[in-house]
Amino acid sequence: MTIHIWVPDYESGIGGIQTLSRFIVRAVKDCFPDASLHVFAKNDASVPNRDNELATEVSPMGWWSPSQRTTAFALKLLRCAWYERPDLIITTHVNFAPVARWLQKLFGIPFLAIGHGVEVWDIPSEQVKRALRAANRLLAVSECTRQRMAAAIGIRTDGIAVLPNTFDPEKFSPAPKPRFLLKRYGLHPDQLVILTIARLASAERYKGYDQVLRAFASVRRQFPNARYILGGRGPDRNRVLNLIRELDLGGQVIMTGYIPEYELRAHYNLCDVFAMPSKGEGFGIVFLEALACGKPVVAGNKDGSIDAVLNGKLGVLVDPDNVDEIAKALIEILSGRHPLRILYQPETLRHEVIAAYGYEKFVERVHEILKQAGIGK
Amino acid sequence: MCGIAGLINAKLSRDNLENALLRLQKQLDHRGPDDRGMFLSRDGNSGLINTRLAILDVTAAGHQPMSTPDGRFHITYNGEIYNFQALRAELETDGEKFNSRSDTEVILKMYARHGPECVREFEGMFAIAIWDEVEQSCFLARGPLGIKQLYYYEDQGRLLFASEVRPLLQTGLVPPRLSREAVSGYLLFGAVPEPLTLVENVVALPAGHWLIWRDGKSRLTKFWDVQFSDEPLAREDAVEIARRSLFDSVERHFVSDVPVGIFLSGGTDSTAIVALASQIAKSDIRTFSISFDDPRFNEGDIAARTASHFETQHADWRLDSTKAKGLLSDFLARSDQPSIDGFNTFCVSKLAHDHGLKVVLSGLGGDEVFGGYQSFQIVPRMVRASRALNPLGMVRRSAGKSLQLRFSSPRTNRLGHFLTDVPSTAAGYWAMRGIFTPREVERLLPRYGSEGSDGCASQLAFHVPPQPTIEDEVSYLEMTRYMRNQLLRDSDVMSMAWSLELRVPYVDTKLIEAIERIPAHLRLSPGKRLLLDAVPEIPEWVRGRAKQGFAFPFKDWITGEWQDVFQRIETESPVPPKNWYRCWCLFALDSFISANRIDIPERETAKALPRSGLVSHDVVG
Repeated sequence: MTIHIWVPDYESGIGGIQTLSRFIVRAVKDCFPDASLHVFAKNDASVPNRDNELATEVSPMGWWSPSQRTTAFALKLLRCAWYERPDLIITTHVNFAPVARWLQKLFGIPFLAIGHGVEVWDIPSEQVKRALRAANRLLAVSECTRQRMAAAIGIRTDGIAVLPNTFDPEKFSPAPKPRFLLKRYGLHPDQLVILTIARLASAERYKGYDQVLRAFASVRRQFPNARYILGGRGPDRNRVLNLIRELDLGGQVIMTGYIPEYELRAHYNLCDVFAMPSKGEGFGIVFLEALACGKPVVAGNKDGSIDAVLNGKLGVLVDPDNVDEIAKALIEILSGRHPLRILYQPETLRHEVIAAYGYEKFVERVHEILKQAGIGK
Repeated sequence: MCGIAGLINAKLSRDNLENALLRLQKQLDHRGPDDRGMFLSRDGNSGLINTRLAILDVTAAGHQPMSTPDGRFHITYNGEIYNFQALRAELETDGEKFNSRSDTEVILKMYARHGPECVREFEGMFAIAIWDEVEQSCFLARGPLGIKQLYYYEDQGRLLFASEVRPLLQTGLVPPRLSREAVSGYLLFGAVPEPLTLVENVVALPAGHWLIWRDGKSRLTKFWDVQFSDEPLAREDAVEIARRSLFDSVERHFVSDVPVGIFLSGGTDSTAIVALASQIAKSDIRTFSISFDDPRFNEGDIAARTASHFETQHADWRLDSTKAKGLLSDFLARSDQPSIDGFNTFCVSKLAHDHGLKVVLSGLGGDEVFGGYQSFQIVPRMVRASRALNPLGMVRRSAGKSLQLRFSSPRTNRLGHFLTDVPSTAAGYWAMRGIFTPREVERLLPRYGSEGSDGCASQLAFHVPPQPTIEDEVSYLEMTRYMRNQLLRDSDVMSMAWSLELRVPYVDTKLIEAIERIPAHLRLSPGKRLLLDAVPEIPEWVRGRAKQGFAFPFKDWITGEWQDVFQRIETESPVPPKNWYRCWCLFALDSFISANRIDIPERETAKALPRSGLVSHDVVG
C-alpha cells in the first residue's frame, strides 16, 4: 500500500502543522506497518534527519525559489502520483486540494484534507472550495476550526470530522525548575515566572503576547519579583522591545530568542504559568506540552485553544482582547487562589491531557478515519 | 585527561569480567600514565575502569573510578570542567563535603543531587560514565562539542563502552566486522562520520547527548546543539562579544594544577591565544612550534618572532622527512580510526611531551568559528547558483554529468556530482571538502566487502537543523563534520598518544553560545575580520597571511621518500588516487583494517589489500 502525504512544512521550524504531519506519518505507519509513505514538503530545503524518519521517502521542495515553488510542487505531486498511484492522498495543505481533486477524477485516488487553523477559516478561491467539497473525508484539528472551515467551504458542520493534534508525553514531563535556566536568566528559584512561547511575527500577533505584556504590568504590582519570559523570535521583535520600554517593564521581561527543541521541556518546567491568549490558534499544541509538564495554562476562548484545555476543564479560558481579564487570571493562578483546583495538581493535569490527547488516542482516531475512508479493507 | 571504559551487565564470570576490564585498561594506558583504577559492582556483573592523566588535584584523592560515600554512584570520566570551583561552592552551600580538590568529585556530586540535567551546567569538555548501584543504571554523557570521544556497543542486553574504538575490539566481545556505510562515509569525506565507526555496531555517543542504560535498554537524549541566531547586532557589539568571550575562554582553559603550554603556528588563531594568554598568565607562557627545511611550509620563523614579541618561553622543532618517516609508523600504530589528518598534532604533541608538558592549548576551531575556510564563501555561492538553476533542472544535471565524465580533476568531478544532486548545503559542502565521488566510492567498495548498501546517498543527504542563512548552515557543517569528525578526533587521539591533554579555547560551549548570537555576515567576514578586530594585539606580520594551518610538506615527502608505498596503492587501487591525500586516505584505511584484523564480509579475494610495509601487523596486543 502506498500513501502520499502533502504538507507545507515537515522538518523546518516548529509548529502545529509540522507536528501534526509527523504524527500522522507515525500513526499511519503504526496502522499499516508495511505501507510505503511518501511525504512531500513544500517549504523544506533540507533533507530529514534519517534517525527518526518513519516515512519511506521525503521530498523537500524548498530549494525552489518562492515564486516557482508552487508550480514546482504541484508538478511534483502530479508526477509522483502518476508514477506511484498511491492508495490514498492526505493533504494538510488545503490549497493543493484542486490537484488532489484532479488525481481523484483521473485515477480514482481518494484524498483526505485536513484543516489546521487560520488557513481554512477563510477560503477565497472557488476552485479550492469545490475541490474540498469533493474530498473523500474532511478533517479539522479542533471544533473551532471545524465550524469555521465548514462555513468557509459552504457545507454542513457534520461534513467535517475532528482529529485533534497530539504530542509526545515522554518529551514533556514535570521536573524541578532547571538550574541552568535559572542561572542563564539570573532568576531565583522562588521567583514567579510567566511564560509564552510563540513566533514573533505581526501576522501572528494573534498569539497574544502583547496582551500578556500589558497584563503583566498589573501582575508585577502584586508580585514585584515576578518575571515574564517571552520565548521565540521573529520580525516583530523590535516592536515588542519598544512596547516593553513603553510599558516600563525593562528588566522584568526576558526575551529569550529562539528556543531550540531540546530546551523546550526545560522552559516549560521553569515557569509557574504558561500563558498564550491567542485568537488564531488552530489547536494550540503548546498547551498540551505545558500541561504534560504539569503547568497551569491560560488560553484564549476564541479559537482552537478551547479544545486543547478541554473547554476550560484543564486550563483557564479568557477573552484574549481583555487585558484585565488576563491579568486577573494570572494573579489568581500565581497566588494559589484560582477556583479551578486542578491547576495545582501537576500529576493530574498530566494524566488528563495524556488521556485526552496522548498518542494512543490519536492512533485510534486515525485508524477509524482510514477505515471509514475505505483504506486497508 | 584520561582513558575511560566500562562493561555493564556483562553476564560473564567475575574473573572474565575483570579480564575484559584489564584488557580495556591496558589498551588505554597511553591516555593515563599517572594512575589506574577499576570498579566492580556489588553483584560482580558490571565494572568501570580509568587510566588517569592527572591535571586537577594530582594527589591520590583524585583517583578514579570515584564513588560517593554512600556507595551508590561511581564515576569514570575524561575531560575538564573549567567552572568546577563555582559548582563546588554551590554544592558546599547545600551542605556537601568534599574529600578532594578534583573536578571529578564535583561531577559525581552534581549528578547524585541533580541527575542527568546537571550536564547542562558544565563548562568544559567531557565524556562521563556513572553507574548507579541502586537503580542498576548506567549514565553516559558526551560534551556539547564532542571534544572528548566515547564509543559504545550494545548486544544482548550488555553495554560496553570506551574512549577509543580499538580497546573495544580487544575485549573479544565485539565482532570485528567492517561497516560498509562507515567506509562509504570515510571515502566520501576523509573521516568516518559520526555516529558511525568503521566497526559494525560500534557507535559514537553523539556530541551534546546523554544516554541512560537500564535493564538491557538504552535511551538517548539530546541536550545541546549549534543554533545560530539572526537577530540584528551592531558591528561594535559583535567585536565586543567576540573579544569578551575569547578572553573568558582562554582564561577558563588555563585552569590547571600543572603548567600549560600553547601550540604556536604562524596563523592568527594560535597567535590570538598567545596574545590573550599573555594578559592572563601569572607565570611564563611556554610555546611550541614545528618548522621544516622546506621554506614553502615553514612557519617556524613567524612563530619565533611572535613568541619573542610576547616574551614566551619558546621551543621549536625542526622536522625533516627522515625524522618524520621515523614517526610515521608510530603515528599509524597509535591511530584509532583512520583519517587523512592527525600527523601534525601527533608531532607537535610529541614535542610538548618531550618538554615535560601535560597540558597544551591549540588554535583548533578558529577557522570554523570565524569563517577561515574558503568553504564559507564558496559553498553558499554554489548552493544559490544551483538553486537558481532549478527550473533548468535537466540542463543543470547534464552539465553535472559532463563535468564528471570529461574532467579528471577530483574537485571538478565532485562539483559535477553536486550539480546532478539536490542543491542542499550539505551536498555543496561535500563538493568542496569531499575526497572521492559516489561513483568512485562504488568502485572502491568491493575491496571492502560486497554485502549491504553503499550508504553514499544517506551520507550525502546529511541533515542540517534549520539555520537562518546558508552561511550558517556551512558553519554548522564545518563544526559538526570536519571539525568534529576529523580535527577534534585526531587531536584527542594524537595528543593522548603522548599522554598530553589538548585544550581548545575556540571549541568552547560558552564561547560558541556567545558567538552564535552574531549574525553570519559579521561573524564570517572574509579574512576572519571579526577575530582580527577582536584581538588587536595580533601583530601585523601575522595578519593578512594566507591561511596555512599546520601544513606539512606531505606531498613532497610522499612523492619523495615514501614513494614505493604509495606507488603500490596507486597501481592497485581500482580508482586512480590522482593526488596525495586520496592516496593517503586509502592507505590509512588499509592500515586500520590490517592493524585491527577486521573481517571484511565476503571480500573479493582477488583484490587483497596490499601489505603496506610501514605498519607492523603485530602492533595489537
